Amino acid sequence: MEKLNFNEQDLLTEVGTIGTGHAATAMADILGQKITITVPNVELVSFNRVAEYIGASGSNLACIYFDVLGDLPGTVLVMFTENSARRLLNTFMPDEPLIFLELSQLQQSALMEMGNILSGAYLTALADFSNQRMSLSVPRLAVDMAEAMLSVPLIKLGSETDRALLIQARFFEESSNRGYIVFFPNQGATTRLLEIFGVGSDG
Amino acid sequence: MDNYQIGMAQLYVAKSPGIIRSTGLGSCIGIILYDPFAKVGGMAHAMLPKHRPGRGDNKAKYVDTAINTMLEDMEALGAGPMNIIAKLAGGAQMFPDSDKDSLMIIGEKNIAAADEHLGTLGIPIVAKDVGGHSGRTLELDCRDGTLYIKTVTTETKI
Repeated sequence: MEKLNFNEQDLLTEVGTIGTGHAATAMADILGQKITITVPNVELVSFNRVAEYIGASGSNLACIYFDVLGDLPGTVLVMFTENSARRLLNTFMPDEPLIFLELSQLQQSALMEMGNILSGAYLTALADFSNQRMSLSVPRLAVDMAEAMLSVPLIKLGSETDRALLIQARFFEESSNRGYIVFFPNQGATTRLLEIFGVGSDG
Repeated sequence: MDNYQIGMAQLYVAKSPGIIRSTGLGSCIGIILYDPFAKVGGMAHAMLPKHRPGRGDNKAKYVDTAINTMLEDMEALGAGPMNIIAKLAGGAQMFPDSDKDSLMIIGEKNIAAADEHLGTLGIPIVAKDVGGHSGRTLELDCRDGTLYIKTVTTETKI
């Protein structure tokens, strides 16, 4: 696949919107505050431009990695900038000292749990909407350079393609506190998603 | 002065006083080749160990084809094949591994593939900063072949 046509883009944006809407609600419930979340961007992006496209190049992020298993396999990354991670962790454990690059076990667990809730809500919505079976692996956390962590899902796609389909949304858009949720469907899953909704590649 | 930034699955070669950079290598491997006499250097940010038929034509994506391509490009800039040395950096495991699945050890496979292919070609690996659990940003100074390596907490050169 070289490029998405208008119908494909439209459909995948809709799929992403349903997922992120649920994720935002889940997060707002936990934090007790309103969460803004962007309409997802859906794009096929060359590997070397992924970090830039997401808006994360050159930054250090906390990243929670999930394998997506089932009918639409792929990877989900939930990523927090330092400020947004601080905001989240301060809500749960205001008294715990926080060094972003050396998070405590408890802080790591809290971020992974937040990732679980967000990605779980996101994928449940997507699975229900598409009537497909999907499940998530256990979360894995790293705090490091955005590009280095983004390389992991890209390597998974690497033997098949030079471009990744990204379905990504940002939350906390109102300030420098930014979070990202990105779904990288595998090649086969992308084709299947488009087929399920009757959007042909020539449509 | 040639000052070039490469991304994932890209490579570049330059003469002194050129600088070649790559940001945030995770499990990918940075392969650096250098001819200290001609002062010609190259860097590849390779993602996967081996090119196979049907895997597209991006030679920089695979360790073996990236090395072969850099050698050709460096020779075109005046490097002598017998003078070339190699340095390796990258091949980290970014996320902790609970079940030893193959994706999580792709970094190790990339390191092994680079060792093997450079060995076959008889190119000595003079320095390495590989493995671990941190991303690395690389900068090659083609004036003397020094490779500067930054992680989120450390800086070193090899």
